[in-house]
Amino acid sequence: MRISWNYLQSLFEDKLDKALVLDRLTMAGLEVEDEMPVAPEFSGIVVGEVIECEKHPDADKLSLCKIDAGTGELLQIICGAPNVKKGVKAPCAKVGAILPGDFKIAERKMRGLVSFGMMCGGDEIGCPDGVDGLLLLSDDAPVGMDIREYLDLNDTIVEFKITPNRGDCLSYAGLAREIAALTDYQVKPLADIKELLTTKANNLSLDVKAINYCQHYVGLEINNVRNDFATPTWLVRFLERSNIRSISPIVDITNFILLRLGQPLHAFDTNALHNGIGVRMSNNGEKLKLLDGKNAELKDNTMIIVNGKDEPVAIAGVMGGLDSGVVESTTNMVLESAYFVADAIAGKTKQYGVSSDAAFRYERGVDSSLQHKAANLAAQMIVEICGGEIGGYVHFAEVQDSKPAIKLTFSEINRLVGEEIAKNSIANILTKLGCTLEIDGDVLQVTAPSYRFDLNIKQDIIEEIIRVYGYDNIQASMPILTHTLDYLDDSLAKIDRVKSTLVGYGFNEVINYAFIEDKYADMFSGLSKSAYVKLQNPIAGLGLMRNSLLPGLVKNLQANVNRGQNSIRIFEMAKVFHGESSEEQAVYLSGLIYGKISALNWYEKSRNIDFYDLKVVLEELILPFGDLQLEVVNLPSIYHPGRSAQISLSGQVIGFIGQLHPEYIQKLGLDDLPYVFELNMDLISSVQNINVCIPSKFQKVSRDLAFVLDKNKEAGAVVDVINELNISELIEVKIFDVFMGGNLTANQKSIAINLMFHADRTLSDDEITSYMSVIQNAVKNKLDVELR
Amino acid sequence: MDQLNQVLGLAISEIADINSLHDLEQLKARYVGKQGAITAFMQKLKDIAPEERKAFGAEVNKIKTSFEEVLNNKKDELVAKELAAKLANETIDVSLDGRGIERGSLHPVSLTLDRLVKLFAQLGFAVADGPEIETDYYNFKALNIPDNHPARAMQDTFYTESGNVLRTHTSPIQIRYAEKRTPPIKIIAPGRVFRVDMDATHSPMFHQMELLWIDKGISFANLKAVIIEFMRKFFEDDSLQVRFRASFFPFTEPSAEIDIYFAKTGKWLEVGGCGMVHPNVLNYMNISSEEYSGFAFGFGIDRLAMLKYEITDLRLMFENDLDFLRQFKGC
Repeated sequence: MRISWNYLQSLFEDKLDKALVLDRLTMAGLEVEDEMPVAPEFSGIVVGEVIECEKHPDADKLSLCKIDAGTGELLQIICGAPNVKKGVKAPCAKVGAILPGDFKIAERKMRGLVSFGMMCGGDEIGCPDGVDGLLLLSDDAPVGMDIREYLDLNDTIVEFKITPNRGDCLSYAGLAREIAALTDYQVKPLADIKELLTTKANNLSLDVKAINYCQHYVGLEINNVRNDFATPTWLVRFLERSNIRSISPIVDITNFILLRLGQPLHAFDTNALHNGIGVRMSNNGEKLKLLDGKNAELKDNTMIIVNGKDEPVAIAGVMGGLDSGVVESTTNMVLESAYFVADAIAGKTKQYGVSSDAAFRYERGVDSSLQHKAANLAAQMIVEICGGEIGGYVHFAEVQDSKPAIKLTFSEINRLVGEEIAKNSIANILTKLGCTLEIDGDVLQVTAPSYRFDLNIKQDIIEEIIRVYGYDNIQASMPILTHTLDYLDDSLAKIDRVKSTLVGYGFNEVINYAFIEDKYADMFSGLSKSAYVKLQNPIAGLGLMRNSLLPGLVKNLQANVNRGQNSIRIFEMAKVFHGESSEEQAVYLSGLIYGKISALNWYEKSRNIDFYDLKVVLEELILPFGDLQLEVVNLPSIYHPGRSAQISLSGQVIGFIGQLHPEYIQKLGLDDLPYVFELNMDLISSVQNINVCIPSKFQKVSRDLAFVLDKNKEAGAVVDVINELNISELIEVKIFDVFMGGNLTANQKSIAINLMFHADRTLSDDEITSYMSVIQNAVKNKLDVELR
Repeated sequence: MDQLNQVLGLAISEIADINSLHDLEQLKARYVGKQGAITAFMQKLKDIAPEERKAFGAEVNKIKTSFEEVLNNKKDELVAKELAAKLANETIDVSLDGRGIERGSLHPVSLTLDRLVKLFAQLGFAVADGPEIETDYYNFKALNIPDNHPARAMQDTFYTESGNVLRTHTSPIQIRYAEKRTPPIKIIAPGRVFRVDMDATHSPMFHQMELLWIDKGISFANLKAVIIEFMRKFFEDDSLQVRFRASFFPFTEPSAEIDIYFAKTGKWLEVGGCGMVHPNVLNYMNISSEEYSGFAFGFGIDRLAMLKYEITDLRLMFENDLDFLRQFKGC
């Protein structure tokens, strides 16, 4: 909410210390978002009257003027404005004046004649009015008066961020009340308001049917008004500085009351009411053309105002109809001042796609004691400004139960605050906030004022107390710690372990959005059978929840290749979405490698990465969690069928590893294909305990074997056969060479295997030899291989 | 005697000219080997008269000792010289880069999260997690956010086609965690959250952390102490000024915004929100608000990361430019 500081100041007896007041408000929850002076710094500019005005003898576009600037003598000033003429009044910068931007006005020769000052336009004094030429002032502007004073330019616009619970502060009166509660400043009492609701209306009926939602309704006729008069300058300025556009005097006055007191008002043209006002719930499908031009199709959850013919004329508390409001030609009007409960209005602006200052206040709560006062004050102003006379009134009031008192104890207050605040301070704070109190020993009964919709429970009262007492005045104190040690968090250990392995292998962690574009979803449609979770209201085309981390990684790959990177290792760990239940939101880990094995270097010609560069990472990743198995089965179609595998951990399928299918060269617009892996982290249990063996002190014995086998057979099968023999002395079986070509046929490959034996004794040659023959026979018998 | 001295003199001058250990060994043999010149004097000893034998023997020994001393000195010199030559020959250029794969990096959000987890672990806080696609109940209702609250609007909250929401804060984790447990409850709940917003300072996805402490007698003074202490330890500045401004959140009462003072800019900067858990929320957690009280504290992890590493544009965090990410290698 925006306010004019000067207007707010005028509500107080004493001069306010602005910095102090704004700081107190900010700290008490009414945050000052911005402070803007209404005009830039300048001085020495006064109201000047053009007494004489003739053409400059040597310049077509300049006028030679004699100006009365209240200095006792006429000033010769040369002026280039097209709208300068004898008799007008405009700002006059005298010699010595300083214009915005520290521009000093001095005597100046213009085409042979001296100008003793300058006449100013709106732009030149920081008050742009869109006029080319002088800022013309009204005829009654006092000559010689400082223009800052005349136009009230020593004012500041203050913008507050009012939280939704503080609808009571959405007015000058509300803010003033809050300042008085937070400081020692006193608000001036409102001048006496004349009682204008004296005669019951003859030709206007009121029928309130929605009595739960409309608890107070005042309608007051004002006849023979002129809505074609100009709104007084002070009121236009007040509205402008409060961020409301001037429309017509009657509407401006209703907006003035809204800002001044916080009571929304509406002005109907009497002709549109057909002698009656009704307040009822709408029927589904009723139609109303709103003030902003929108055609609203009303729903039965909406309270409306209807005329004597039961036709809708307004959405109650939200917006009037286009055809029933006051217009320039209006002569007879009915002023509506009503109390609608917040629940009736809440959500309606969203429902109808409109916004209004009235609804903004009603949905936050309007003071139920204001309606009468507001109607009187507005009617009085309308008669003063637009003429006319007060007619009859209609009235409805549903007796409301006053709010129940909130009961709490001083000890509860101290316990929740964590320090003792003196009883009399508490009482004093609550009283200043307008609460009524009953104190009985430790017990405190608090009745909140009618405008405080946010005070309902003990905690609300405690907040009020410390808000005014000052959050900063409460001494911070650490809670007394009673905790004992807990087990270390397995899932954190798992994440730490995995991430540190990846970082050690040169991977950079990325974080992508959880939603992806259709384009990337299509590109990876081969990944999942389940449908994507779709968003109703996506942003930037990111409409689908990712069911894999690969689209993000691939997008990062493209972007980084475009930026000239040629050796890329990235990973991401995040939730992916196979549905909307908790269980369908699993944490996945995916990695991608691309391009050169290393950056440009001095020691080797860098080669392109391959499957095994990623496999080693996977092996090290999985190591703490169980046994890794790779099988070339069930591959999703995004993978190269000959360079990829399904990953299992101790028998459970947890993901895939491999090169993207060659069709991705074109899909991604890259020169080369990345290798990727994806793992479901939720299927990986915590880090396993390991069994430590004490290494034998005896010598190890190493033997090598070589086999020739079919090129398409997995070398790992040979290792598996050897391992399955369960020779306890055989501690490691490792393939150390794979060879093709030479004497071998095109369908053959040779593998060399190193066997390492170790035991808690010296192993004899005989023993080793017999193991070797067992091994050779097993391999030959189980697999179609030859010993080399 | 003169003969002896002559032999020694000759030996010393020959030793001086020698440049290799091999030559030195050969020289040694020529003087003190079986046929050596000095050895020859020792063999003469038996031909010398017994009364002179002792003196002569002593003289020969003295010459021999002198010879060996000179020889050993030369040997040491040559060993040192050869070693120096060998080392010089083996010298490499240590200025060249090390070989192998360079370390990768963790994302600044992860690094920051790690600090947060470790800081709060000191006070015994456990880490809790929850789903990112949430139900209306956990994201709004159980947090005392009324049906018509503006945060529920489509312009703020992402909705799935089936009507669930992408969680707008990590507070739902509080409810999920606490509804199954009894106090004391001490958790931090970090995670991704989503809002319909995208510009230089807003991202449709960002990271938040929520802290919850519920126990008997937890007070507003406790809330202040924990948050002030946390801010100071996180920013590693024990004189950091932290202030609490009254505010409004549906899920806490009293509520406050937390500002920290940046001496560099001379400005207060809002870093998070906090408050005493609202009794309605405690109800949804099945915790008696008469018996227990607690506080909650929430803030943006990305924002803290940006302040910590002086990153000025939020978008950088999710662009995943390797030139940006690799700078965190050393963290």
